Amino acid sequence: MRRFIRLRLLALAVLLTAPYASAQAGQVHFYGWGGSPQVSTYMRWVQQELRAEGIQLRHNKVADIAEVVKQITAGHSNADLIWINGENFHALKAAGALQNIVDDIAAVAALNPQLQWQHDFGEPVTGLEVPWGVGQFNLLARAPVFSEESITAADLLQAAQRFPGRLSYPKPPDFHGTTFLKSLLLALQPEQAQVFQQPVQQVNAAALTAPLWRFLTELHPHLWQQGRSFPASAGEQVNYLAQGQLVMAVSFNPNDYKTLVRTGRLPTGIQRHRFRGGAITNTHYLAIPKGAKNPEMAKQVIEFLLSERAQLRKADPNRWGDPSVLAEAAEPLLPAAQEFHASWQRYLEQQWSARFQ
Amino acid sequence: MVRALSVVFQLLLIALPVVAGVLYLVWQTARLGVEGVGQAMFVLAAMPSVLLNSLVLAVAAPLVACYLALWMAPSLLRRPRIQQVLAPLLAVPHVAFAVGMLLLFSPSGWLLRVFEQLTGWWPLPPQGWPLPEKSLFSLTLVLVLKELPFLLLMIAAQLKQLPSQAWLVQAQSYGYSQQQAWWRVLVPELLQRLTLPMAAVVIYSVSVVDIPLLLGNNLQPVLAQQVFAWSFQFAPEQQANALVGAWLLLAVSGLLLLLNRRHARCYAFCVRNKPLRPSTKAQKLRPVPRFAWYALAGLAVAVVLVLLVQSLATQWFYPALWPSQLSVSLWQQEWPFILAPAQASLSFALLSALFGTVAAVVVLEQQCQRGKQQRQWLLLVALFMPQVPLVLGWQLLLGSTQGPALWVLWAHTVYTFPYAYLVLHGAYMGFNRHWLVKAQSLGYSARQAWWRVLLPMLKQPLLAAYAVAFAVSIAQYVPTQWLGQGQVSSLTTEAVSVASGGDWRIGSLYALLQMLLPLLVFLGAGGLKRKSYAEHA
Amino acid sequence: MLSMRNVTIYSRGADPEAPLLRIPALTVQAGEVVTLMGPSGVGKSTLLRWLLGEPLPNFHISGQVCLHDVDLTCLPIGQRQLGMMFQQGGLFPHLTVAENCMFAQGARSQQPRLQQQQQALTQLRALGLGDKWHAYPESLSGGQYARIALLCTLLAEPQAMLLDEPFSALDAALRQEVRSWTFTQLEEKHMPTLLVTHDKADARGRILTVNGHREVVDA
Repeated sequence: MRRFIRLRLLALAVLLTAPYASAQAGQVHFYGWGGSPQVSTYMRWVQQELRAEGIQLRHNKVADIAEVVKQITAGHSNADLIWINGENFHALKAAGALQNIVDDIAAVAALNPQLQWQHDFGEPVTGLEVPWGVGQFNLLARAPVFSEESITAADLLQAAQRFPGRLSYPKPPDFHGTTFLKSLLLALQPEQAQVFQQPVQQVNAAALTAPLWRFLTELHPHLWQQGRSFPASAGEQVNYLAQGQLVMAVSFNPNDYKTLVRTGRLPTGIQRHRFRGGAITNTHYLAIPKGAKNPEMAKQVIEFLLSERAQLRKADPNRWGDPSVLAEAAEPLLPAAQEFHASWQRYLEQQWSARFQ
Repeated sequence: MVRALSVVFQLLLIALPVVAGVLYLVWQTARLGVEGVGQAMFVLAAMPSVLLNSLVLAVAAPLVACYLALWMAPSLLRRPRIQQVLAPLLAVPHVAFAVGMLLLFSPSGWLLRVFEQLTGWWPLPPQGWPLPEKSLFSLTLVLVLKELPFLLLMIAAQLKQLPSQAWLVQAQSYGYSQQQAWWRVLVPELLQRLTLPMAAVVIYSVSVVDIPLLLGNNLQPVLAQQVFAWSFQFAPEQQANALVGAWLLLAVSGLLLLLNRRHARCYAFCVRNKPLRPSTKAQKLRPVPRFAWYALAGLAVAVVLVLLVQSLATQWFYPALWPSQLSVSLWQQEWPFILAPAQASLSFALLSALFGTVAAVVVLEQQCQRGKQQRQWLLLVALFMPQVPLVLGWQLLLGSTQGPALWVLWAHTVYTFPYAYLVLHGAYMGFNRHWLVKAQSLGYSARQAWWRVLLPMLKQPLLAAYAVAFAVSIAQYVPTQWLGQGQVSSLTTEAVSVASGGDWRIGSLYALLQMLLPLLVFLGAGGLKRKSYAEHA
Repeated sequence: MLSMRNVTIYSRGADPEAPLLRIPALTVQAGEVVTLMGPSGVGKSTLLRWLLGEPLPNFHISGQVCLHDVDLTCLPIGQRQLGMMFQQGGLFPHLTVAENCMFAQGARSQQPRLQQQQQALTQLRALGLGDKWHAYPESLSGGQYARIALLCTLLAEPQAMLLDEPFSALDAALRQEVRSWTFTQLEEKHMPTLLVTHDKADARGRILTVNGHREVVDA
């Protein structure tokens, strides 16, 4: 009896102290947004495959990768590998917190030459990150909302009038929301596409964006909650679409209209649309912070993630459905529109919140 | 000995974390310079609605919860066991509760699905439903319902300290109705004793971020929500806004705490000056509050149930009352990955709740021996500092990434300690020290008397404090994620990151796991002994 | 024999020239009961609590107290071997009668546990309350409670007893009965007993009163 108690005490002690064991060597700490079960499942497969190569990959899920960026810029992160793009890359680059890795990654040679990955949201990559996947901004809508795959701003307004209170978009500065603004801007004046490649300070931004603000002022009263509140994120908007509060959502994954239906997140009868002028296309990346404890192994992980096998599995619409970045695995994407120059991001966010918040 | 320990605990769990946080804020603000601060103040001044919303939320939610609790509390006098109803609601983490409320009462929630099935009026979720997904009202309502059980627990503890029945009977013998006796005799005293728990509720309402992110209007956010958003935007002016916002948040908390201290006195004043309606018929206290208890219990069950069904649904769309198919596949898929985070959560919660409760007991014992209790709000300071700058301050001043799990344990204890203190304060201060003298007169030393008499007699409040502290530890996200450096993932870090994608099926699964451990502790704490003895004190 | 000398009680913060109570000398012999009478508020209870050894931060008290010629003044409560009957609350509410008895014996008794238990049970049966062995104090009637409380206090083997208005919580009929029973018990044990009360009916043995100078003079 006494021995039994002692054993139980021992078990309790082990249970209580296990989390305090020190970190194992040979571990790569990968930080990424953890909100997608499809991504998590994919990463579990990656972990399994890498274990065979003797690499312990820890997938640290976060609610917002900006948390990790904040930690890295404050010098308190143990991240070896991070999944970023856009503003978060911009902040890390500005802080000089990333290693130059492109030359060390052999798989870069196999990248799809069509892929314009040298600019991340208009910011030159300068070797600080390597592309992992492709995002193409598209709309998910219930069947009767839009008749064409490619829609105009006028179609959107018409839909908003036909389905009052059933359309919305994520609130900028959520990057889905800001991209929605960019897409509209492009759809309103497709002939200006080249101008948006220039820094916002070098063009007459006020004149260029005036049609957008006019359009939104007209649109907002027809939106969900009369435009007095917006979905906080694309994920939230997908829920509203699923339940029928909204008839439209937005996505950066061109396969979501299949993946989300297949996984039961969305009901059947969801169609994919894009704005006339092309789906704004950008890349999401992998990067290694300067403070990484295990950069060499992190590079091995990148090599694996860029391998044909890993990329094919990632692109499988029955799994994650994120398009491949490799030349070999290139598949038809949506007609692409180029990402705006990075300076537009802040400009649009500020102007939007000055007008509508 | 007690004095030394008390000083050590206060240094370790209050002074160190708070000073580190404040120093970080001061340092960052100094780097901004006068101009930067001025600009940020200008930005904040231009959005008065943010501050106003925060004030509305932090005044309305605690007050409504408080008076609702006082209205329901008479049932505790007649049937103390009814307190057990609170356990599930106390155990549900705030965010899980908010998700449950969304799934029940939002325009596509269960309630409206039932209406739709019965009437067929709304093939699509209705617009203009009084509880829209994102509004200050929904936010306030959820906070009220979440704080209500905590306040009821606190009232239950205080009622055992007071000769409640005797007071009620005496007041009735003076000709007051039962109802009047409750509101005019017991409630003023209860409010006085609720000052500290109310302070915690007020602070929580000012500083809460995750629920506003889920339920709050985001064009008209509350201050904490806006500060949180700014701290993850990296342009220098947004960082400046975040800092100045953090200071403003501190100021607002301080102001509201001052007001909170006047609350009981204000109430007493109003009640004294309110003309008394002659009670022609005997106004009984009971029937309506009893119904409210059932409603609260029903709500707890409904929240758990809807989370459970959601986690078992392969797909479940409005207006279906029930998922077309239930499957355990999600549970099976996640199960192998749950063990490690569950173990981490359990370990942190068991230990940090233990340390927090021990520290609270030591500090209270010292206050008892010294015979005065000043500046209690100082013990609570860590609760009303925004977590982002606070944790950054810890990392900056306290530094290294060695042994991250120990850091996390410490950080959790920083939060479990004030809550344990709050829950325990009333009972501990109200403990009749005569019993200690009595035990010593039988030949026991002071220390023996303390262990063998005070601790057993305060078992109930101690267990309640431990359970609340346990739940507090389970719910920590930012300290666990940041100080844990990815070495430690807990159920909450998993739950929060998973929830960020908005897939409530897997979100519900983790929410359920998150509430399971505290629920066991609350039920255990409530069911251990047949009754509390503090009432004899 | 319980004796005290030069005891002076001041309220903290009050006039140092005007003590609350002064006892130049007082001795309670073995088997003797001394009753200290006086209106409420003159510090009778405070005196007992001081004798017992309780720290009293609101009073300043000087003097000496001896039990069988051992100076108790600097000893902690637990080592003074004084038993005390309070106005209320003689039994620990979280313990059963049995546990209360065992707890009372636990600190001082040298006997083995089983014998302690036998002793307690025998004495309880002698009171005709054997069936209350497993009861909690809250379920006892006033008379039962008072008797078992005294029993427990005596089980702790005190060398002297202090009684602080021990019968005031009882109703008149019961009071008479419990009072005479209590004093019989104490006399049987030859216990030096100091009783304070404001009720003449409770007084026993040698009766001392607080005079106009707030002094107690042991004749």
